[in-house]
Amino acid sequence: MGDHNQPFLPVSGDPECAPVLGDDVVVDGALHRPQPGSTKSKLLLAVFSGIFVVCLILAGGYDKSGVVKVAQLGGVDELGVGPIEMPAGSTIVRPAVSRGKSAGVSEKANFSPEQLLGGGEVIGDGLTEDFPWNNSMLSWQRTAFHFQPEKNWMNDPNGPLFYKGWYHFFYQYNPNAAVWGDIVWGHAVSRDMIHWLHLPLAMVADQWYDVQGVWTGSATILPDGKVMMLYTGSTNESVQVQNLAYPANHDDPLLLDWVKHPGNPVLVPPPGIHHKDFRDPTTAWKTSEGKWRITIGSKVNKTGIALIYDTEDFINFELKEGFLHGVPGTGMWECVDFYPVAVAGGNGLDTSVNGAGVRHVVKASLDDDRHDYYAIGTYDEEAGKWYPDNPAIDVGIGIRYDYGIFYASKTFFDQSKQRRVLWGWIGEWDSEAADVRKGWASLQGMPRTVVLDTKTGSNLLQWPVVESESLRLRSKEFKNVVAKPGAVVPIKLEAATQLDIVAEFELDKEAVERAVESDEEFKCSSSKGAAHRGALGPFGLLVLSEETLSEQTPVYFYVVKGKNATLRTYFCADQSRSSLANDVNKQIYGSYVPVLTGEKFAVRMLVDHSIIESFAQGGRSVITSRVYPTKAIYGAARLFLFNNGTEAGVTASLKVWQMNSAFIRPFPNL
Amino acid sequence: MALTKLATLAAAAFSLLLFLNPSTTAAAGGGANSLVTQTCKQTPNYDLCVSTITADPRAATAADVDTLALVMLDAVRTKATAAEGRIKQLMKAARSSAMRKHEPLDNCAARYDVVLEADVTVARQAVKLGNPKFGEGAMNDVGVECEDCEGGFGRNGEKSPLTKQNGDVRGLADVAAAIVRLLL
Repeated sequence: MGDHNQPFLPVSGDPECAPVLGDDVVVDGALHRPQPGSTKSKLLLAVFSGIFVVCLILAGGYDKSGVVKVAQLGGVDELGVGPIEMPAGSTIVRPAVSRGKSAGVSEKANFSPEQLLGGGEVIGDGLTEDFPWNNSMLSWQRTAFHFQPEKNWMNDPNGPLFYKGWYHFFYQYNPNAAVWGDIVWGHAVSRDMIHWLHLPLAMVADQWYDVQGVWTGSATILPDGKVMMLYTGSTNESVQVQNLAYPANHDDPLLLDWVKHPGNPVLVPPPGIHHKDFRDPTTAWKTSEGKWRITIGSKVNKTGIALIYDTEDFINFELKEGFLHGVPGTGMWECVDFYPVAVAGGNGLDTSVNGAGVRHVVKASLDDDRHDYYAIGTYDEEAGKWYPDNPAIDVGIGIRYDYGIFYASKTFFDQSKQRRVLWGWIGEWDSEAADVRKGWASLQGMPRTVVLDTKTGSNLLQWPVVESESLRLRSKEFKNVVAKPGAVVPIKLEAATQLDIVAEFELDKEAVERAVESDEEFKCSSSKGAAHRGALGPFGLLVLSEETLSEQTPVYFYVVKGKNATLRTYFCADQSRSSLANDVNKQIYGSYVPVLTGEKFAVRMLVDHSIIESFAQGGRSVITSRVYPTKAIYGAARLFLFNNGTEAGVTASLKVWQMNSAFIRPFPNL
Repeated sequence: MALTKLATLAAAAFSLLLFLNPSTTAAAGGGANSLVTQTCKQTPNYDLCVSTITADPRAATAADVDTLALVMLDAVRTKATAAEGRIKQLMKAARSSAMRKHEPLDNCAARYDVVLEADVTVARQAVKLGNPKFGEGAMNDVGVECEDCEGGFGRNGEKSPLTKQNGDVRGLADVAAAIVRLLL
């Protein structure tokens, strides 16, 4: 496998634990290893202690009382004393009010730790100011260049395809409310997967076999160009069945009207499968017998499985014995996806491609934890089976597409540009009341190309489709900005709510060499977020932040120097202080990310009002966040570079573009 | 002999025990059947779960967890409807005392509207149609709404008159969420 570094995930399958076996991953090949018991190590220790003390002093009077009280319920304070007891009826933590440094900050201002990353005091009597939602805050949340209908609820992406010059996108939609229910198929088209135009609903719930829900499905384009759409219907008796639909007029590039096959349903739950565990048929691929094959997710007890069916006409199906694959303990597999990727990387592959130089990906959305997992492996076409390359990181227990909010995703092969493109449903992380009030809920992620990571061979890379760059307007470049330990550096921009950011970071090499090996077992989700200070991190960007940092969303790297001077890198997002509001997600989340020899720490971020999509190391680890600030909105939003590590300085270079709106609107003159 | 007598006695006692095993008597209010007890053991409040479910006539013949989930969702709806009624009473009193618009009560009214019109509705559909994740999410949201209703009084510098109602609704919703989770 060539230059093969640690597998993405360890035997334990925990995305946040670094691999314990495998080749060392080093950022700088010349790390020194302290000799045990030598005078050299004692000297290093003395130097380290000295530097540590100096850093403390430089940090400006580290005030323990105000710092690092975790800004969320049930957190652990910095002394590790255990959960903070919240007095009954107390309100959520408020950030510490900035003391004196707020106005007129200069380009290189340093904030004191408690202003910024430390979290605030618990207020027991609830008498501090709060920011109940108002319409200005809520309307700011709508995105400028992410797909969303004009109003109401959306969930899974459905049947994406490229047809006669148009990209088509269908989606689960509630025409009546901003919550899930009454589901039908919405429809939109675009020339470039960016500038979407809304079309009338493609399919509504007008047959007994889908009257309770026109649910998720996928498109297959036949060799003659015809489109077959298989989708799940929830019948009048709440049974999940599969139905066939096709365009009423194949000459219509907009595919406005759809016909449901008169003989529907074409598939009903087979024996042994519960009538509520049978949904989300995939795109079909050709078998060597010349038949079409699809897979449908289900479960048997707590084993998630992918059923296989063969068909010649999309009307009559043959259930193949056994399953394509199953993994115990993973529960119901929703929105299964199955597709080939080229070992050599490069272009995407048509779903039917097989043979040498190809691996196959199986993906499932796990009902149990609302996350999308994938695994890479071998497809045995004759047996109708797939086997993971590494069973320790099998489907559902290994790698996720995205370590934030991202579900029910689905890929399609874009034959016009020979790429495989991934759509994902991005839900809301606020309250239903807010959704009802603002009149809408959910987004789609920016479509991403998916390829095999040829450098590791064991994970995929995702990257926003190249057309996203057409939204870039004016840019500003910031080269070699230094952030010393404890520093927060404002990145001056004309605006900070619609951005495309490409950033690279380097840790001070000497500091990395000097740093003592730590046996810290780090996990983003159990850490103190950006307030969790280590020698070599956290460092990154504070997005959608307010001038005084009362609201801030850190997206960052955290580096641990472990045994044998191996560096392990984690990529996290911290929402604990993303909003002064009580009723939004405040979690900290992320994953381990392989950083290979010679690579800098690199991130690309799309900031689009209430969504942030962050791509680390060229898309090796991706985090999507939904953020709902009350103050850091419109002209008050800011971007900062930060380094809350204790020892190493960070040098960052970034290019930041203002992003245009995609002007997503109804198709004109229809 | 003594041994066979003992054996017969033991067999008789065992049969008697079997006969009297609570799981075979499924009388509403008279002792929960085993589906109810097994389900409720997997919720954060066993007693609340059992007492709520067994008070419903459907409990006696419930054959699957889906039914128990619907029973609990109905209990959330009933308790939330009562809370909403109380809120309306309080709002009326506030208006008649010529107070200015009372924000915490307005907030609670809006929140409970969402609990009833959105959360409970979504959860019932989700369970009925077999897409339970939306039901779990909806019941988790009930807790958020209740907390915000409660917190609104704190923000206004007053003591909440709805602490019991908010607590009760939230408690039932937490149990409902746990039951819906079993359907995933």
